[in-house]
Amino acid sequence: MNKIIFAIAWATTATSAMAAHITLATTAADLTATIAVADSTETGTEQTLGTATVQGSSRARRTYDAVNTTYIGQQELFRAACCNLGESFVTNPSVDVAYDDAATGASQIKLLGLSGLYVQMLTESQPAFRGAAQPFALGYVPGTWMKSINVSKGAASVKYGYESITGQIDIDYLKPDAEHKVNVDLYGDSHTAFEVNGAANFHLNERLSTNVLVHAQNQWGDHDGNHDGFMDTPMVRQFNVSNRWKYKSPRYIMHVGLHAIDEQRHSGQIEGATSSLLPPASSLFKVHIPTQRIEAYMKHAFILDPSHGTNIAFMANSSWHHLTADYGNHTATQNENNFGLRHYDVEQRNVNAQLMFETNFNERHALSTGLSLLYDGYDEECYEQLNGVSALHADHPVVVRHHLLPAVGYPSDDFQRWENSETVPGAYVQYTYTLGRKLSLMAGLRYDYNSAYESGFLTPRMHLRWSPSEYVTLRAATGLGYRSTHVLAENHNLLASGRQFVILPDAGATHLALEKACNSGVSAAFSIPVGPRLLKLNAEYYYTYFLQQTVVDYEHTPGAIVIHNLRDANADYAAAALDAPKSYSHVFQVDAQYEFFPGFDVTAAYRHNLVRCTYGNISAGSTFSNESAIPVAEGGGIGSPLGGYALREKLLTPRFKALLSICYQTPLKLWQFDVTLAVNGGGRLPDGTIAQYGLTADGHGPASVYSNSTGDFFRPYETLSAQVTRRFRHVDVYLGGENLTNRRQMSPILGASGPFDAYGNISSRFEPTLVYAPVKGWMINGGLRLKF
Amino acid sequence: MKRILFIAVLALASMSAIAKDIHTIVLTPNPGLRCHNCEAKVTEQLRYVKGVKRIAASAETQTITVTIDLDKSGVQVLLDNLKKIGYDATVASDTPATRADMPVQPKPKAQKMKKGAATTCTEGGSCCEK
Repeated sequence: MNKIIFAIAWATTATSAMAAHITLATTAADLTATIAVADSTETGTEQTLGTATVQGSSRARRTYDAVNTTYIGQQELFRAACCNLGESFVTNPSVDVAYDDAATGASQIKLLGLSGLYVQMLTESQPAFRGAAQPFALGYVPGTWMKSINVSKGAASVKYGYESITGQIDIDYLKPDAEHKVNVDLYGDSHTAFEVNGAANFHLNERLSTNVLVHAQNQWGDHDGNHDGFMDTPMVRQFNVSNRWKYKSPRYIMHVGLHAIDEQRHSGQIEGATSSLLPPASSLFKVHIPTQRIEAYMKHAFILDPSHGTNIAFMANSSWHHLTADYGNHTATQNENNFGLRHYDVEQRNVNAQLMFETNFNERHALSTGLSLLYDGYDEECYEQLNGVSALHADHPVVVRHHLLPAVGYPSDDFQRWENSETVPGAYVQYTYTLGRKLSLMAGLRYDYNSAYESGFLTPRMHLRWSPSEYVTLRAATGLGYRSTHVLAENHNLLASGRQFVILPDAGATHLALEKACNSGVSAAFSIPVGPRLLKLNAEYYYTYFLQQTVVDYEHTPGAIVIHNLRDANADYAAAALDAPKSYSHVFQVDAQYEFFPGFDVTAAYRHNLVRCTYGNISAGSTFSNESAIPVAEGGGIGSPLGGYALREKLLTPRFKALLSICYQTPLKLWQFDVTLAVNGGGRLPDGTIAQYGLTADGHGPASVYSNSTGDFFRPYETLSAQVTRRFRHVDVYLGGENLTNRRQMSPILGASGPFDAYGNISSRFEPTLVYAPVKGWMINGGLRLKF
Repeated sequence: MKRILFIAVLALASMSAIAKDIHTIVLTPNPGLRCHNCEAKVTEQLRYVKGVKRIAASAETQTITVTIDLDKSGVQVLLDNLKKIGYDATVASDTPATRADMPVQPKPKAQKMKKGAATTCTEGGSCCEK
């Protein structure tokens, strides 16, 4: 492992060491860069005066944007069998994708070391996949539907809301007015998953065009590579269809579209596995999550003055999302055997509307202002069916329906359904000062009022870009961000855990507080001519500090996942001589990219995460002001009866990531070879995990676990993926593999041998949500991309 | 013996090289190439033609330079392929290729966007209007 890390670090150094042979170009023509002009009339596009992309590369930093944005084009996406959005970041050093749990297959991206909940997801500049769609959102966007992805780091522009704390991911779908094409993609892998995608666009006349995108996937056979009796990944059957229209005239642009998803997700124990559920009914632990989603959107842009880029745009999107999640005993029917099951049902309605006015006063001054309205409504139901046994009825277990959420303010036990909604009107203004290519300053301010919290808040953000020469771009940015939490909708996959699920607002409050954070960052990007090509170097640092956060705490109360506010609004920490809880992230990244000879491109990157969060129960006992004081070795720990709270390393978060990605294309690009090696650093597990579940340290091997006086941890591990692509005129053929070193978490599902306890309820020792490494082992995949 | 084998291999290689009729053809497209998207479109169309070794399409110089083995495909095949995507091309020059003739993609100059101008070549979007 150390050798691998050293090799990647050496590659980063070697790639950047080419700078020792810098020959300064005397004119811009010596740079292998073209200026691709952003379509200033495209609705919702940033009004920049130029966006540089590197010719021949499908991944590039937007050199002249004020915001630190990386553009990932389709060519980059096709370097791996990107079945969906979640698998599109295999070659990206900044974005991590990991499973949230081993039972449902919910996955999440991580940006700047923090949860993907703090990344605002947009589809074509409109907020998307919020709330109930979050846990599985990465699977709702088929890879072949995407034309490009823009990944922005840090607090983004205020135009699209207040929610981007660590960054923004903006997905661009295939355009209706693109070159006329019909594409059919077929995919299959050794885990018996199969997909088919289709995309076709039609130009009805010079101004009106439409496209239809379809996707279907299924999996036959349950795969249990680690032989724990549970499927390694869920069986997902999904149908996904989208129809998009575009009308474009010199003074008016319109986009409208519809999108529908139907998904059936099955996971859990495989047939033949043992179960500890008592008679009369024995059952396997199963997970079943059916989902239906319908979205509609429209965008209208009226070009008032093309010479100044003056336009008014109205954008709106709406979605209806219905999801049901059942965890546990699925043979539970009515009455008799109706226990050992957790049930969650959510129906979410979302409407988001924006009215924007933009203009360039002259070459230097631009203004954007607008109004917005967000509505989110949730109807939720959640309960656990328990087999309660009392001394009185020991021989005749009584079926008890029990409310899962005893938190203050929730409806009484008689009700298992509740509704909540938020309406957020807002307004923003953003001013941009541009001095040619040398300088951009973007300052924005927005005000929003949230009906659920009955409070308004300001979101200031500023971005500065300075390019003292064609070879150097320096950026600085800072801003506030907010997020309202929908605990169950965004974390219902944690219901698969046998721990008690507790939502704990502050005393007297009916819901958790609005999350609030400040993000600041600096970056330096260098485009250095080395020989005939450019060496791209980048270094960046981001600091995110939470003033308030929703903490998913495994160490607050033994046997429970407690979701609570980081800081209690009722607490006076100073008066009580207690350390105020904290949550923050320092992330430092360096990356280098160079084309050593035509077609041979090497990217090397290293990112270091320093992420800390206060865990524990402040009221349960003493305060541990430093990690070394926590008596973990004595069976203590902040999740133990000894109690207390402490600022600790963030759970399940790798300390670093090193990436080496090599791509070779033959001169005519008929053959392409891609290899990506990633090393993910070790991290922390909840205190007592190793002892509680009897995990054995696998020597010092990758992804093995170990404990010491400061807690329980997992070791670094590597993943290797590769792909070979052959292009023909009408078909691309690819064959690849993922996780070729077969690196897997040894026990992704803790307590797998006994998911149910002696009473037939989900066992409190059953824990599938502590996932830190790949769950599925090596996989071979292949496919065809047909193009007409 | 080894020397004889070596000379034989060298002779075979030379013969195969001589057998190839590799030329560098410079074509002038009509209508012209307006942007990088047009360059990519032309390159995409020609790269599957048998015998093509190198392609360099340049909006800056308004040329398409192709290194091709004429034993496998003639110049007319190139012209026919360009015709399919809407370009009438004429041959500006046709010279036997040497190593030095291998076309190198010219480095385009930075283009300044006209303020407020609508562009017909969007990033990664549809190709150029004629």
